[in-house]
Amino acid sequence: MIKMEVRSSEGILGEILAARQLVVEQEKRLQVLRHDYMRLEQSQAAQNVLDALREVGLEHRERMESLQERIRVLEVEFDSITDATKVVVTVHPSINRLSLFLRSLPSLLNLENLFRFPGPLDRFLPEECLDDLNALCRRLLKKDLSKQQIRFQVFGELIKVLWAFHVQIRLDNLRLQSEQSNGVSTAGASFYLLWACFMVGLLIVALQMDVDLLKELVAVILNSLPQEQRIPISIIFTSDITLPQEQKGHIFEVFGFNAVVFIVSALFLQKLKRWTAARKAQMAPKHKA
Amino acid sequence: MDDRKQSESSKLSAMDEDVLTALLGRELYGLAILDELNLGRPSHLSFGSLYPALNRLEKKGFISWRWATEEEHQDSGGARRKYYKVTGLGATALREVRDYRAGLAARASQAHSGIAVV
Repeated sequence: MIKMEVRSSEGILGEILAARQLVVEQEKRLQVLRHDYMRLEQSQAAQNVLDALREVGLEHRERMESLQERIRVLEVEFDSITDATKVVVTVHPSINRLSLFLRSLPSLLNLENLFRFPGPLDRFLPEECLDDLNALCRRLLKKDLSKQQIRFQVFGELIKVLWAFHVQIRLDNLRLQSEQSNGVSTAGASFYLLWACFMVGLLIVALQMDVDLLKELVAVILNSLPQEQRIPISIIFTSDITLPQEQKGHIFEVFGFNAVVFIVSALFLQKLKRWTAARKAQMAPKHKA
Repeated sequence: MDDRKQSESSKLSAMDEDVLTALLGRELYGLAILDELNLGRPSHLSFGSLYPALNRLEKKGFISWRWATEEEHQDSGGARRKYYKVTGLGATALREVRDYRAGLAARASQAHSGIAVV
């Protein structure tokens, strides 16, 4: 089990926990306001009533954002403290995250609410991405397509976006060092989600038999590295042991597991492909008959 | 070392170039950029390709963004919309790539006409 450690002195820790509690409360209030707004909208309430409610909602959201900003600042402060009174708290966010995800599963089937903010996906994707997916979803709903077709398309996009934010952008950011944020908190994103996305991404690529995309993914991994690390990476793939131990360890930490997952997935997918081809061949004469 | 870093950071992939071209002289949000890029494109692009490109360009300082105002984006699902635009640095990088391509094409056509004459 991967553990995320938050370090701080006692006072700052208390402040962070209190701010987090406030954020949770604000989220709940926002949820209630959103339901009220939708109910009023459906009952065709007066525009000024809706506008007033919207204003209140915006105020809550601003408050929540400033709290989140405050938490970020405190966490940085927390990490920078080096005194002996530092308190170490170990939390397991993956457990909370998993239970939250499981609770939100039924709402994933509801296309109208899937990309709402706040909603089931706001912990996994940045706000602007949810807005784009919501716009795409609404556009598809206006077209003459069945709900299943729309779900299929939307979930395809969703998986690609999860892959992009939690794998590809992180890899890109290894090379692109900047203080600007890309919208996804690297501290908050789950390790398991990252690898789940990686596996699902590979599966999709293989099922679509999109060789160009597969090449692109491999290129992304290699291009994400500074020039001086590209040779060691190729060494890992060819099992050379002449690399200094500490350098090898670091690179293996970042990419070694990637390579193992990649090879295992490739073997699995090859088998799956053969099985599918054999099954198709079995089915073909029956159809003809 | 600094020169090398600078040249690394000013590199533009084909996708980055397309995004910069789509954004040149205007502000667009994610889906609108994708619509622009997919018009007449042989292979369809998805958000999975767009967001990494936007992230790269933003990190390199080639694009900047702002949140949409309430008036600009009224029928949202609660999430705010992000509008992207090209910065001066991005426009310069794009111009350099275009100049290079124009020079390359000119040299190629000169060589071609030279062969034709011979």
